[in-house]
Amino acid sequence: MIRINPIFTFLLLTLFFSCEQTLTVDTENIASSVVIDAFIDNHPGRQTINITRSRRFYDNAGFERVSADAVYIEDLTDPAQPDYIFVETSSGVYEWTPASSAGSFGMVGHDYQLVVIDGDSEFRSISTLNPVPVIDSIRFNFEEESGFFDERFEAEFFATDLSGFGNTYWIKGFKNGIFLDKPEYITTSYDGGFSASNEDGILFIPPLRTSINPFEEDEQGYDTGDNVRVELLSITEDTFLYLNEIFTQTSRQGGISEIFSVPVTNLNGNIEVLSGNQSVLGFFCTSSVSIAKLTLTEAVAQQAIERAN
Amino acid sequence: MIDNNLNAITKLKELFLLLAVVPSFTFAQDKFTINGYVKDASNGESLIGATVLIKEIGTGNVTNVYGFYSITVPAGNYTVEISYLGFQTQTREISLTGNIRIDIELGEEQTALQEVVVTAEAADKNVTSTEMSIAELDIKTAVKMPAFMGEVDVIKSLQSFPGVSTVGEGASGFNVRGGSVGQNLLLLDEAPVYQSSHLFGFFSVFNPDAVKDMKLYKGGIPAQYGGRISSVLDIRMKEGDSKKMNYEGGVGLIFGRFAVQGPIIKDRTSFIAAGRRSWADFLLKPANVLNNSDQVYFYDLTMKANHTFNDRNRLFLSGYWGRDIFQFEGAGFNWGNRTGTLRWNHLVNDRLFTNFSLIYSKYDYELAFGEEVDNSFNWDSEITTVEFKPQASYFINISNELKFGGRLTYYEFEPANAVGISEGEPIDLSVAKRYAAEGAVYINNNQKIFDRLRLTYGIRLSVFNFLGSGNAYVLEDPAPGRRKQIADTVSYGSGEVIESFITPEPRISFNYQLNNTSSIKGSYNRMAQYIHLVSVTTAPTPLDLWVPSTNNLSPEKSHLYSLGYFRNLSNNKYELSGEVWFRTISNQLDYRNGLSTGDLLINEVVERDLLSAKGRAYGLEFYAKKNSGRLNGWISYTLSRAEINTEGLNNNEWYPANHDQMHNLKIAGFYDLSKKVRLSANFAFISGRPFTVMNETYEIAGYTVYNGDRSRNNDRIANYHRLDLSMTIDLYKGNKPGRENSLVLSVYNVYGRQNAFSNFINQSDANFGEAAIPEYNQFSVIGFPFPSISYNFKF
Repeated sequence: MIRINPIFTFLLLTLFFSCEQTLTVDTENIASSVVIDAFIDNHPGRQTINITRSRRFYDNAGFERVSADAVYIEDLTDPAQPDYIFVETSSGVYEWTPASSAGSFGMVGHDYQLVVIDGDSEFRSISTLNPVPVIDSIRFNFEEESGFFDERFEAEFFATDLSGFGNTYWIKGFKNGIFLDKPEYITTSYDGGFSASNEDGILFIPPLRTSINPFEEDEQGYDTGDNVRVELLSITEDTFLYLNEIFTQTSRQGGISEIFSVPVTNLNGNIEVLSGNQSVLGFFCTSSVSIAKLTLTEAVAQQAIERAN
Repeated sequence: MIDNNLNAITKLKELFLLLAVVPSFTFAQDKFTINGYVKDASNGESLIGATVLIKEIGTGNVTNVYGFYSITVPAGNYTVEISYLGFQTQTREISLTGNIRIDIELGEEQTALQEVVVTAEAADKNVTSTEMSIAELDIKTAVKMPAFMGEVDVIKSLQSFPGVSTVGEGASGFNVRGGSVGQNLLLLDEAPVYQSSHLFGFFSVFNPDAVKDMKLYKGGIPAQYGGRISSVLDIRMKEGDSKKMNYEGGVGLIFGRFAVQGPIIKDRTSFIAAGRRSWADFLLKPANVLNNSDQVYFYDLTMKANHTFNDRNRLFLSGYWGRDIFQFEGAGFNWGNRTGTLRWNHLVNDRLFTNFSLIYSKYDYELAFGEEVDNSFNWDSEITTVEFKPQASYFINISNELKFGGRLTYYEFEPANAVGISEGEPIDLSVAKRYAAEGAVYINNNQKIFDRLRLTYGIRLSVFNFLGSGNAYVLEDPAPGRRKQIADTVSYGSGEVIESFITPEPRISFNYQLNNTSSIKGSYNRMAQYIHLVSVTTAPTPLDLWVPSTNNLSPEKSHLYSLGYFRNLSNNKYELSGEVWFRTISNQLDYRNGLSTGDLLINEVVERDLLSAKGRAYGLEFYAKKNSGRLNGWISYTLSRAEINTEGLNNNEWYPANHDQMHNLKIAGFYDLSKKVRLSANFAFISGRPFTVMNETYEIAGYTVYNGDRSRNNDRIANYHRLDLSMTIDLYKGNKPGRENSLVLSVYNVYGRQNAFSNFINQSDANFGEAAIPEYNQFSVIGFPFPSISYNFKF
């Protein structure tokens, strides 16, 4: 998805004044829902599912944790495979640990079904573990001060979309091990570009390649000593849409970009209620993942500056 | 299906030919025709809607958009009276023994400081004509209204009429009677304008210096118009002074304006060229807000020329060229419209007036990212139309005026021409072009049934073909309200018809005159719209796409019923009207939850994300206007609802449209303080727009997200109200007519109300890795009194 609002904000901030004030909205007291947060990938090691309850908008206490009776994932493609049993390690946190430390979840190409049983409620969801290309390389570029940006080092990764139409990806950036977890940073790709086009099998396009950089007013790109990690995850098309919905729902910069904002709506989750009276929110997605890391050492920085010149 | 349509087209052609032949039948020999043009004596501009009255019969004709009239009456002696609002009425005694041509030039009424004085005969038009649901604004009145940043704005001033609204300050376009912005047809000298705003919506693209007349049809839309279902805004440019050269211009906070017009050959050939350019960049660069290489400006150039060959032939060429440009290092964005209209007025005989128009219109935008040539991303998108429009008016007799004609339009849609250059390797991400052709024929008669009853009835038959070359997608819709899946793709060759639509659009209006000062009017409109503005945001953006109807996207259609009471008081000093209306819409565009503009760009199959909705809207409009006196102006009030029903959304129940605003009160007042100083004021009260309340929060994939109760638009933002004042000081000391030298001081939002544009949730500026705390915010565009000053001259 193409990020439009930053463009508008950019252009108009210098031209107009506007104002904002906080307000209290009369929210309805609706019954809370079970929230299943199940993003699973095939990175070696344990996988986690969180089950909580939604809370009232103005309630700032922590999220209530749900201790379900059973949480597991079945292989629908090869039912002979043993189920992946998720064990509650702390309240509402369910973990699956492979037999060996090199073991990982699932097989590429298989369909998986998540099952959650909580009392008389049963929830289910299906996802496919799609393949993901390798990340060919990652580097730092030296960028001079320009427009609204300061002088900085920008990380850039290179990977090529898998052939075939309709491959969808989630690109996650981590700076010094911390996930760039603000909604503005949600970056998805469709066949290596923004959205479904006629192209396929291309090198991921430039704005996506550099999407792993912080662009805060007081934190832009990377400094010497920092490290970057990029995770490229294969996702289903529904997940692609869902992540974009999260972006649209939560990334509101306010100011003049409000004029071009999309009215807020609920997210289209993919968990279904099979039985019971509890309503459910959340998402189940299985991903293959490619990971690359690089530390911005003095030498790497020097190379970047030389390349820039 | 296609064969049937082709058959229908053939029949339409036959009908059209037949209609063209009708005028050759002659009528009783003892009747003769008076015809001619009515013009402004000071500059030769045609007067649109001037009344030509045969006093003895008490009836007559109104000049058309080219200033032409034709009246056929039995031989005899008559007094012909020609009148036009704000002009001196002229009378001619004629002895009618043969066809006679009377071209008239009316002189402006000379009153203190252009106070509008109404001539009785012309002013009762609102009671006598079948036209209803019209918002008509003379540019002289628009100029007097207080304007944001002192910039006169055609579209903003129309919003002071009943039934016309907007979602908020700075929003592009306008909403008419529950319709969306893309359902309005905007015509600039007949050319469709696809994007009507500069600076994302703050200013409209129509330069007031070049506009002569604007008329908004909210209902009772005559059969010659079609292609959108909500309204038609018909803007006519000035022709250019045919008597003498003159220059006008001014400086406001945003634009510097200059216009020149004058004769090339006196009374035969004249031209006008009017340009505007924003000038803020001249200040921002020295102030170092902008770098020297940055560009931030917008401009438009509006031009027109015309030549009168002889009594029967006249040619007009007009065009518009405008662009908004934002160029920074590493990012650029620009957009604009281009239109061109070539028109030939041909008087076939004394009673048959024809016009042939060749029209071109293009809207495009370009975006560019990346500082290096080797690693950049550029894309542009455009819609181009070429149109041929023959139109004829046949003035049969005093009781019948027949209009007929047609339209043939070719569309080319380029959703995205996108190239990414990656390490020097270009990657073409372009989305295939789409093509379509639209045709229509219409016939419309304005008939006086008897003295008190006038009918306008007609039909328009429109045809639309979605054409190759290109792919047609077969879509599956397993879950209503979600993205559809592609089941199959069928390839079509160049010019092949992929899908075809045909719609008969009957139009009828009546006026029953109760007495000399009051009447009851009613109308019914069927309208079809084949191209759609896909706009998911609160207000339209310059990036919104126009898409054709396809095998997956049906034409939007509407029925509109209106009924009104019109009354004038005190010798037409006051005009009052009230109307009720009801509209139903089928195949209205709606969007799945969470769809954003970004999802639709560079997207091969946008129809996957579009939903087809039912729409309904109804309302009550009041309008009271005082035409003359030192204090004049109008009050308009609208009570209305606009609702949508979409399968898969809102539990399949009706929900309020984003632009649903129950109460809409507008007051425009003008007061002449002295001969040199005029005050004017605007007041607006508008009910808050709906928004969807999120009741809960939850965490998913590390993000804090929200959840509502599955209903859409279940609460309202705060009501909107605002007062603007302005004072115009006439600085001109001389006494030559047509000269001007004035200063306009104005304050927008006098009492500084922080009017809500939207209520939205934003998340606290937590650091990476920390939980976000969401809170509701109200956003206001201009939350304080905004003073402006502008200077205007004319010589």
